[in-house]
Amino acid sequence: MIAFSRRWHRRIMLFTGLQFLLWTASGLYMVITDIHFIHGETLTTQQKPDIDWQQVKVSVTALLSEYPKASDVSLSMHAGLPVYRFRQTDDNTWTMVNATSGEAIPQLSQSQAEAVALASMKAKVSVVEVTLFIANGPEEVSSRHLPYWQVTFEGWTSPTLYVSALTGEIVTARHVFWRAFDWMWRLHIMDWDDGADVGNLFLLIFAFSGLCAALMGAHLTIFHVKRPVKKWIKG
Amino acid sequence: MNFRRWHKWLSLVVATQLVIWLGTGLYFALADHSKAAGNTYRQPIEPGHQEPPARLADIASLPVKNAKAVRLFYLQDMPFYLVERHTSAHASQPRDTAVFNAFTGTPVQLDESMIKAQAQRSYSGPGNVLSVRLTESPVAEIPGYRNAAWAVTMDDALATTIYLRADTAQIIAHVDDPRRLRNLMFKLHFMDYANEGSFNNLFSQLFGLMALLLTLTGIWWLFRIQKARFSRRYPRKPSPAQASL
Repeated sequence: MIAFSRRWHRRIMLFTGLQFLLWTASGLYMVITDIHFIHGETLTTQQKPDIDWQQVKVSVTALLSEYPKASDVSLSMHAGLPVYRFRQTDDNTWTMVNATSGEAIPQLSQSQAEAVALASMKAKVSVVEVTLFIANGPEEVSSRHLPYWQVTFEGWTSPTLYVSALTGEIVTARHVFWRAFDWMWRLHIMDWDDGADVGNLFLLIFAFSGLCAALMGAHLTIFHVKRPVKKWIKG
Repeated sequence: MNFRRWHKWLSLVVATQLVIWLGTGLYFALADHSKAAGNTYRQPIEPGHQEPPARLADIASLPVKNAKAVRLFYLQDMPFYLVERHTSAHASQPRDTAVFNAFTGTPVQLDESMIKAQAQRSYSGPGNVLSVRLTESPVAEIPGYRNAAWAVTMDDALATTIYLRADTAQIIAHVDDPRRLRNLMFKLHFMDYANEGSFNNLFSQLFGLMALLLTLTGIWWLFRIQKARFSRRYPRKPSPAQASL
């Protein structure tokens, strides 16, 4: 029985050993890096400014009569001004309206997006590049946030903030550790394509064969704890 | 101590958890993810309001001084204002809010009947409501969620409990038996034995490190075994110069 476990533990590990290395290395990376840090929460200031009530001149009633298809209406500050943000249910797009004047705020310009990103960053760093994405964007950001500005800052971790061109909000933050985490996840679930499918055939086959190998390894461990490896090797 | 002993003693410590990791990994590969998420009897709540209300209370007149944001939301066709005094990066993290009737501008606390009705709107199963109760954070069945929540228990075969945000009655999750099984699998896989809803814990870090060392020593051992087997099968022939000596 022990010979069977020894033989098949070795044979299966020849097949799955490299994946075990990927599982353990990627798993260790993911558990030792704080998930809030990975999400970029330490890059940006989390506290938003208080609403300046003195500047709020437009009521919600007036807003809804102007925009009867408005849904998910909110009021908060943007670039020192109170603004209403809402989704238009007819075309599902977001709109931002100045809560002092009632005027619709057009899409953010490059300099406005850069200013929003700079104000959100905790560290004083310089902007390297600002790019607008309208129809398609990089894989690291969900397409539901389009259109958005990508603001890349200097530094070896390549911190990048994505600013919605419609609402002026930071929709997500990325950096080299997030990108590494994303790859670790793909390696961990064996979906190298996009990391979206946990229920894939590769994971099923390797997890099953790995489980068999681990159980046989456990059998060997019990055997060798009773009988040290050296004695066994010497016969 | 050589790598074989390292492999043996590491495996003695890690073996059980390694089997758990692989077994739960197998579960994740096989599970029906929609059912495992508790969605068997969950249905989207259609927005009830069609036309904007004639007149709402002025946001600026609400009795709040410091607010980061005010949101208009509807609950069973009634408009409310949600005032966010403190927010976090994620909706599940602690937040300080207050809710006001958007017609009158007066503060409101959602009552059991509203919560029950909202839960039923999100539910497509055959069960009836057994109980409605308010639970404080942390809620054991939704680890990681750090605010108060309403729990509406249904008497169906899957023992569904519907959790709603205490402030807005927004559905957080349906937790039924398939979801409880998934919760257990996550807890075991993440070694989240403190039920914090996180894999960033000392257990997973220590065992992750040991599992990596176990793998490296195993690969090294395997390499040595294969090398020895190769040498036995294909012994090196002496060169003609050596043979003539």
